[in-house]
Amino acid sequence: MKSNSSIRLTDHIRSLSFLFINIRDKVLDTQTHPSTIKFFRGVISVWVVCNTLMLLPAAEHFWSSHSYIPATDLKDATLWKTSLNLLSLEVVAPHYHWFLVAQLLVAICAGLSFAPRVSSALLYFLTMNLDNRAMVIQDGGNNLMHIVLFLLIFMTPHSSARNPSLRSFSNSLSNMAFFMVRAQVALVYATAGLLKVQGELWPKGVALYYTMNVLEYGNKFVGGLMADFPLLLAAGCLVTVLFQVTFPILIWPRATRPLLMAAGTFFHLSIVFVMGLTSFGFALCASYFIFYTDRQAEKTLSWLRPRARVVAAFDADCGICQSFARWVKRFDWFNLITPSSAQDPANQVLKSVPLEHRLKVLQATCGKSHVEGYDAIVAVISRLPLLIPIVPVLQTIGYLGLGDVLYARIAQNRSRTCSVPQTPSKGKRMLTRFSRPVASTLCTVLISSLISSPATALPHALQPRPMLPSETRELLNQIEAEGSTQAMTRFLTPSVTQAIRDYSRLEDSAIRKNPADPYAATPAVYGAAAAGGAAAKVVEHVWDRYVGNGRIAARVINDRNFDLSKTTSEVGISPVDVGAFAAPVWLQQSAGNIETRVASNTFKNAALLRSYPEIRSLVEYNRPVTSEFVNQYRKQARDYVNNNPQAQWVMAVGGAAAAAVGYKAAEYALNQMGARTSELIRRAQFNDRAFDLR
Amino acid sequence: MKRTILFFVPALILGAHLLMTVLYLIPVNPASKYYLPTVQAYIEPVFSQNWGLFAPEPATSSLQFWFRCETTDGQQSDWQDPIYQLIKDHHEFPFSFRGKLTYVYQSIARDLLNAHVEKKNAQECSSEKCLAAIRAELTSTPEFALARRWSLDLCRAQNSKPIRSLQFQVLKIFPKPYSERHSPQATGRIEAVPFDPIYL
Repeated sequence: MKSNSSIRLTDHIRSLSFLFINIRDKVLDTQTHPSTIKFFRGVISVWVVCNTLMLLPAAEHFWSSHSYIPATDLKDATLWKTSLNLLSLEVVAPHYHWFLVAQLLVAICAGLSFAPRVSSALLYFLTMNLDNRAMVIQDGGNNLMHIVLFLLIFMTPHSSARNPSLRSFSNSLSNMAFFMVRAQVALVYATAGLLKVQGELWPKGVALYYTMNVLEYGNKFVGGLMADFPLLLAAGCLVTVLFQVTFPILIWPRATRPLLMAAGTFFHLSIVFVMGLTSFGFALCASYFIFYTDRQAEKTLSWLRPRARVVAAFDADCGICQSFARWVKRFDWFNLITPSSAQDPANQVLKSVPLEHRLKVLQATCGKSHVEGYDAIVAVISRLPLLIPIVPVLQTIGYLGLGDVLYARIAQNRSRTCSVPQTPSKGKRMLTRFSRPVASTLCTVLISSLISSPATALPHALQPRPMLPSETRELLNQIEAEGSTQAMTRFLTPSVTQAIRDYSRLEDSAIRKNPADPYAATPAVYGAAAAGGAAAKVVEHVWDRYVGNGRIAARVINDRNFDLSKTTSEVGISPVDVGAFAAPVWLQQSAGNIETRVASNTFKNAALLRSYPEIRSLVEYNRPVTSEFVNQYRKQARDYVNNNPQAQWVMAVGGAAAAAVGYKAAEYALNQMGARTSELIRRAQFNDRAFDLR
Repeated sequence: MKRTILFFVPALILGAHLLMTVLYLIPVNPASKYYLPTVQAYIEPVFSQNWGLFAPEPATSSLQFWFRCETTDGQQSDWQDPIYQLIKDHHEFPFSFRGKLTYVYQSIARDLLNAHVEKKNAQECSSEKCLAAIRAELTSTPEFALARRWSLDLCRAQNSKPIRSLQFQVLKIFPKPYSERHSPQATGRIEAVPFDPIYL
């Protein structure tokens, strides 16, 4: 045994050594992402150029010596600080124009990877000098760009050093700097996400309402939407937080990366167009290109090279194909596309492609390279000057694997009976792979949004399933078998427990008979509602036993929530409270909207609650129970409600079952997400005022 | 061995850099507090960063700077907000310098407001008399001088006649509270810091 262990240990050490040597050699001998570095440097340079050009018309206000921006005090500054604040020196300040011109020229050189390290160093120096002079106009985007520009100094697509050691060191440095930029982008989101979780308005789901109604960042239309559609508001806030928190993790696996990049691009473009944070939004979008794989970068770079003529083979018998061909020819201003017929047997360019396949999928040939389907569409469109701006969007769609899916859908609906191959496309495979995690993420978000958001000051519960007396009987038997009868009596009070027992003794047929009656009210309903309370407790019991929501003290629905003597403010939201809100609604309908006025006035939000489908379902559930006895017990019910205010608490228990499921699920989801559930819940109340600024 | 060293040196730099960055960004804790001087000395000259990005709380108020002028012939203008139109124009077309120009003007208002709040908090001031004394104190600060210069430039740009006096105030305007989002009022709470007229 001992010798076996030693052998295994030696094997492990040896395999680790090999792994280390492999990594070391890869890092020292090659540039891991030469095309990505080249492309990324180009994108960053484009951002710098665009940002400067945007500010250029008001250059005087930002950089001149008589601008309203105070110069940096360089009295005790270090040499490094002084060198990056030259425009704060009186001698240099009037010559800010030269810095601008130099920055633009150097940015173009850096973008074209001309002397990449030197041009990057110069670009960093010039950008820092300009930005430090106009410090007050800098935002997070500029901040990120400063760090990226500095790290770009160490990155080069190809090391030109002749000395092998120097070349290895250069490669190593470049690869490390490349990784640092990636890590830096991930850290931006990690920090922003975690800080948001610590705040008050983001977890409450109202942060976007306030931001959208602030003049500087707001948008009247979106602000109105946020005010009118609480679910949209809550989802917007929580999805933002979720995106930022998960980004640093999900951006690394290649499977999830395209999804994150697409979501992030959408997120930041909406920041540009809705909030007006132009340079910030584009800076963050630009930073995503560091996560491009080398192949993707190479592919994108190839599009930027001078365009070559492309021969596209359109199906002559397909209406949509011919329309597309005519449309393409109309906008082909530089005559870069040669349309040809896919049916033409003499088509020399496409002779390697079988005729049958040509008719199914659009073919495009450019020199020696050949593409088909969605890629062929992109190849054609990228040669139309008018449509060049949408090429990155089309490429992103292709990158996500959705292009093939779209193409297949369109091709299947063509006028002729041709179709694309039925083998699962890359897009379909990707969608299938993602469907489950995406669905689960969406569920988590939705469930999370149920807590402490204005949309759900009352939590959404699962639709309550009508519980027949026989089922209640079974439930009671189970509880008894588990030895939990005493606990149930303690939680629900003896009178409620007795009501449950009374209800369970009814025949199921008594419940099923008779249509709905708006004036229905009966003590049997009392039992039905109480049975719901028992169901809630069972939900709680079963959930805690088989799923587990963490420490009892940290639970949303802890045992104290079932104590009827406690108030909402003491224990937070409880299913009992939910039921209590439901009670007046039900009582109003069941007892004729008159006698229960006192009860409903107790709860200011009763009218609001009526709009919730769960409450309506609860009422509907109770109605058939009552209808049989309506004539006999109507008066009795009125008297009962008027004379016995405790009735509302009994009804409160009725809402518990449904609410318990919703709450336990939401609590579980939030616990899983690491959020401070109990604190969130403590803050939540049944009043919109909880979402106001203090 | 040489290759291993060539690998490890940048790797150590990378590790140290990431560690420093994380220590700089995480909320204050015993470790970050202990290493704060070292971390700051490393990060701030080159890698200074702040990723608040509307966190922990988003923007919840709008900052405005109102001014009015009086010419030597006694004509007084209404209160005007030079930033408002700039922001409106920027939202209509976000690809211009206007967005960043609002940053410049708002920084003037913000610095003045911050100086006011700082003094008010330091002196635990609440009475009107005390607040007036603070406003008087502020007139000698560079923040006030910059606000005065800007207002004067705006007044001169609008009036051909010589300016006799000018006055400005900084306002913090909050959106309507969420519970009152459908109320007819245009905004929520407004906090104004008016300054005494300046006679030239």
